[in-house]
Amino acid sequence: MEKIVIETKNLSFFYAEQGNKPSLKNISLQIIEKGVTALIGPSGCGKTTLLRCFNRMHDLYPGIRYEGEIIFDGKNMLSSNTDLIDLRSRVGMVFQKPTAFPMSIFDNVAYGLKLKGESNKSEIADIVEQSLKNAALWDEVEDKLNASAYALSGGQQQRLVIARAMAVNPEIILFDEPTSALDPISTGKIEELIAEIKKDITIIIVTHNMQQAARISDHTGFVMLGEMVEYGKTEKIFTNPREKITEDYITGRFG
Amino acid sequence: MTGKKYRKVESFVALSFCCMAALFGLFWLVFILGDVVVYGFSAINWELFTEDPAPPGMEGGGLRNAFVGQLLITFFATLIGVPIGILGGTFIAEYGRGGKLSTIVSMFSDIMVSVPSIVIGTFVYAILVIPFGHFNGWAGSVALAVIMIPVVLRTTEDMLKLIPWSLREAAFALGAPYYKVIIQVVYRGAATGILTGILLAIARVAGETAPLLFTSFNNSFYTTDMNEPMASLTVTIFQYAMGPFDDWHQMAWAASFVITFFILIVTVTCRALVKWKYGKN
Repeated sequence: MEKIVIETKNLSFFYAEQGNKPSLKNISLQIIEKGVTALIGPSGCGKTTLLRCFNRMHDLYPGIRYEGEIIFDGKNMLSSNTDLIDLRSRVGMVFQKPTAFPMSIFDNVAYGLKLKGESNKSEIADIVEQSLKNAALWDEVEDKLNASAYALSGGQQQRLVIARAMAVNPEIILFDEPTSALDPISTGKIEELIAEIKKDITIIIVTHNMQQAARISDHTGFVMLGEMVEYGKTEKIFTNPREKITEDYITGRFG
Repeated sequence: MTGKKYRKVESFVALSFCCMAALFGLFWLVFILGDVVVYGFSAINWELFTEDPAPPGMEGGGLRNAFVGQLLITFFATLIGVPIGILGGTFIAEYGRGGKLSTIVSMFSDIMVSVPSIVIGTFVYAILVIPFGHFNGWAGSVALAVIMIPVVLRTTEDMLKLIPWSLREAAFALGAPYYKVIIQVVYRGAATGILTGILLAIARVAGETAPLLFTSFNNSFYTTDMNEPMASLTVTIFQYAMGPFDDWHQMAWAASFVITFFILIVTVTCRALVKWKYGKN
């Protein structure tokens, strides 16, 4: 039996500037532990908004409002007594554009560890090395760990950011269109990487690229106008969707 | 005349006017700098830096009191002004981003940048000189700090706003609290820009005379006591250049040369820093 790692119950979300018009409406879904869940849908449909609920990134901005529940580890993470710092160290995030920090390659990967209070230097060095190896970047940066992260190419920076996210040993990593700013070769590398790390970490990925969703995901959710139109196994969604509109989107008739 | 020819003539006329205006400006600049170099350089000698002024009418002496005074006043002005400027800029760009208070602070600091420095001098005179009954070095530092604050604040704000918001989100996503995001990620990215702002602010106040006339005033004797009236290069230049003695004029030239050279070095450093940091892309 597959284990559910995150379950949303009637989740609605309101941006401050949208007033009472929800950007997400009554979304209920279950994210299965390990493996890749892809969120697809037309631009502005709310898939990134949904993704950013899972580490409560929205809380950085005043005036936003959640309704419903997101159950994570037996608790509703939307409750006001959730420790956001702890939550975000368990639910990592990788963004569309590489977000390497203005520091050395080593310090980038070690950043999350230091935030967590890890001070044992050899322990940090071990984890940094392991994370870079897991992110398939070690061979390329091994001899320039103290160089600025900005000396790396965009694709390398994205893998560096993934290494940084993995270094704190999260249970989930959220990917927000991680390859949309990358060339095909770098994209291929990131996809291989995701296929590798999904064995240990639950991955939720937002993508505009349907082929990518079909290639890498085990489950797919089709989001439109803030609603979850259809959610299920990727093969099912891509070969025999329940809803006509899902089929229309996947076959490129709109969107 | 065909349209094409007409455009060429127009272009030539515009270009000529631009060149003339540039040459006119450049002429005076070179004139002034040339004079400062010619008269100033010849007046520089070792005693200028090691000896205090001789009594009026006597030969010899130097301006050690003014050099030390200028350094002390500028140093403490930087110490007071820079932290306030940086923290204020941080408030506007980070904690108060987009808020009403930020807009107000930002607007007022814009106004402050263009307040005549003599107004700041009289203001500090009223709050730090009159209550103590005498001119003092601290008042000079405070007056210069007041001039520095808006410059540093606005540069800090601009530099912080250049750091992409996604970088902050990435740090938040790793579980960093806001103050760590600012100190460890944002400041690091903006460090060169902020440093440039600080240096420019120092260069700006190093040449100020009016606010010092009302605050630290002048002192013919060497002192490192900030509670005393204190000599500074700019006020000394003012006084010596107006004075009746030839060797005073010489020393005013020398002081002008030193202070111009100092500001030149600071400005060139700023440009080099900016070029080094931002020139690549």
